[in-house]
Amino acid sequence: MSPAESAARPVADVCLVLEGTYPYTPGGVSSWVNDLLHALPAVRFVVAHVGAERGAVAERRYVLPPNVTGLVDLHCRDPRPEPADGAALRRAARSARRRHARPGRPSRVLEAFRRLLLEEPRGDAALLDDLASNDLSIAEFLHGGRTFDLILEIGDRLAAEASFLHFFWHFRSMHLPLVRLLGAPPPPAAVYHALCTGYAGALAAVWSRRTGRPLLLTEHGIYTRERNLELCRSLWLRGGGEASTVGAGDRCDEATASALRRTWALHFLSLARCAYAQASSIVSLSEVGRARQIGDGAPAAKTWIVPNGVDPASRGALASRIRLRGEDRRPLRVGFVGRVVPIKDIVTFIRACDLALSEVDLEARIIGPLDEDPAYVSRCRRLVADLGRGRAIRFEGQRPPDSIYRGIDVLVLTSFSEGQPLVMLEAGAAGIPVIATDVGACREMLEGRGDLDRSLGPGGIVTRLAAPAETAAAIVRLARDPRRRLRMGDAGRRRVAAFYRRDDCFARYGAFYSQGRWPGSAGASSA
Amino acid sequence: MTSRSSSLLPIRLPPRAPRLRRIAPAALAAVLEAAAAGALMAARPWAVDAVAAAAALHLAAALAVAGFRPARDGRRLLGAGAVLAMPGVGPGIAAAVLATRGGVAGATGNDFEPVGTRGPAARVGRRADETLPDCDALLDGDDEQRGDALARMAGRADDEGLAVLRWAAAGRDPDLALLAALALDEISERDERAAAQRALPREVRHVAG
Repeated sequence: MSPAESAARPVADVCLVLEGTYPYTPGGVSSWVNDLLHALPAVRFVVAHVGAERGAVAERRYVLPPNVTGLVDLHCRDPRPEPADGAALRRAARSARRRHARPGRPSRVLEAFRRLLLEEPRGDAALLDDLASNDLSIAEFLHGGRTFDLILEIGDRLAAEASFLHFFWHFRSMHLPLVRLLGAPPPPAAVYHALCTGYAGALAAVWSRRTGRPLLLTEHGIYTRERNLELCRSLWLRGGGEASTVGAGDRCDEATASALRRTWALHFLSLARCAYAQASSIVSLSEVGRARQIGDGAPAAKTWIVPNGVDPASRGALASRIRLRGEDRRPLRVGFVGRVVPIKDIVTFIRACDLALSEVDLEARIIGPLDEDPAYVSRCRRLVADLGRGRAIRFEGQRPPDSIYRGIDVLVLTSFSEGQPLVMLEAGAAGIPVIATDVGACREMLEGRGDLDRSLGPGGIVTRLAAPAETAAAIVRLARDPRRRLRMGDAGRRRVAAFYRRDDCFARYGAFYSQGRWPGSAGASSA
Repeated sequence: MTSRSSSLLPIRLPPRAPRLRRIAPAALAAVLEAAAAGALMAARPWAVDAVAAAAALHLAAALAVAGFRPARDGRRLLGAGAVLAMPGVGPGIAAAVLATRGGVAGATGNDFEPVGTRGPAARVGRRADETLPDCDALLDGDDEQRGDALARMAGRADDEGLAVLRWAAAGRDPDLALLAALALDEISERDERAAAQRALPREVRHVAG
């Protein structure tokens, strides 16, 4: 559906502003959005999706339900022109440079960019008004003399030790998407709801500012933290040594890489501050996420915790079957459930299973999509082969959720980073104990958040990051003690039934959409 | 690496001087040089006190450029050196040096005046002056120093570095633990690739411990 099509449709109740997720990319946030859309059929949604590059991802992975009245596709950049157009592009660039060398008036958007990086507080109302003015064209940004002056000033202040050439191109890369997105008209809606900070969050904040409509911000993972992780891996861990890779075939020294990473991190933090400042409510899934939001500048009085939920009723029968199976003599079936990507650290899962297999009889299954990072999948397969565990550790690919938990006795998550993993809730609802690393909300999901929650007992075992020996010890302990496994499974099931109900979660969003604020006392910070 | 609010302390930076102001010391040096030349010309045959006066004026011209605080250290010294070494044309070279704009490699901490001790500008200054040992950087360093230390250890991947990374991955600081775990994973991947290239599959090290 084109923007023109969506504009012709009726005004929506809610405009969901998403970045790189629903309906094009499967994953936790996309599944959640899909559930939200289906759970609130009376609410009319329009979905604004911010993608990386026009035409890069075109296939929808979800069917839009009838209550989605429009889908607006926005992109951070256009595809690179064909090589044959190079000469024409150069001519156009020269012409644009002549036109925009010294425009008569200073741009409010450029001034906002300067303040975002150089001045505190980042994201105040005046700054958002400057961004909302949309008085900077893409050509002015790319070729304007004032833009170049600004890059000089910011480079001098933030990255004096860096190569200016690298800084110039990185500054362009980080701000061009913003210039492009700020030109998009806001889809008419009563409430804007962003599912992350970043470019989508900043855009939603500007739309909310322009229209005077409330903004709700929900963060499943914390965007700034996730981007910082990517920066760490791409700029200095990947490069290493004297030179680091900062672009396709482009190399720079460590000081430059470090300065660029710092500037990018500041840029993402500034975007987050814009969304935090404009949002009337800021939702996270767990206490850990909320603390990070506050640490990044979210006003504590606006923050709420609304955990994800599952439907425990549909898994009751399954849980009882698992209880009966608790003391049989078959090999313990341990499963990893999730995307096979580096951030999930499947390598540690494989090594833990290898170590545990020397102690107990196991069947290990890796269940989840294998197509997102083929290189990492190859690495994992090679490791299994090298360890000689091809029969005991199997890659099963994606499977329907209902069939997954019938096939495993213990769920093992070895992720480097998580928000509030849905698979842990599903396993809990099915009465399956969980071994998980101490990241995101995993500890509070297994051990409880408040006194009442903690009194239910642990629903699994928490381990350190990247510690295969510790994960293996936990697997062995559960394999040798079926009664402990049953106790933990029961505790998890009761915890999910009491604190992680899907209908509770979406009912709260429905109430927000209708009232423009969370039900309950103002300023309360925990759901 | 997670951004912390403490890394965002406001920084106070010297405003960029206008171009005319930037070349003012060079202009002063030119005047002093002219005065020195005048003193020499007027006193022919040269008397000792005329030569001394000219030398003092020449030195003062160099000091006028060297003492111009708003300019970077490197530029001030280069300009002063030009004035000192090339009587007559030196002030012109100094003017060109001081008027030049744009970022350079090798900026020093003196260019900034940090309000806090953990802000970006403070880090720039510190990086030029000191490099903490890796363990100290992990324990007491800011985000940048930690990141740099982890990168060095990941690059070396020696026994000592692996032990420190394992220790950090098991620590209570979640951000540091995550970065250390990523570094360990990086080393593992490198080892696996190397082992695959050597066709020695069982040599894979379990670096994560």
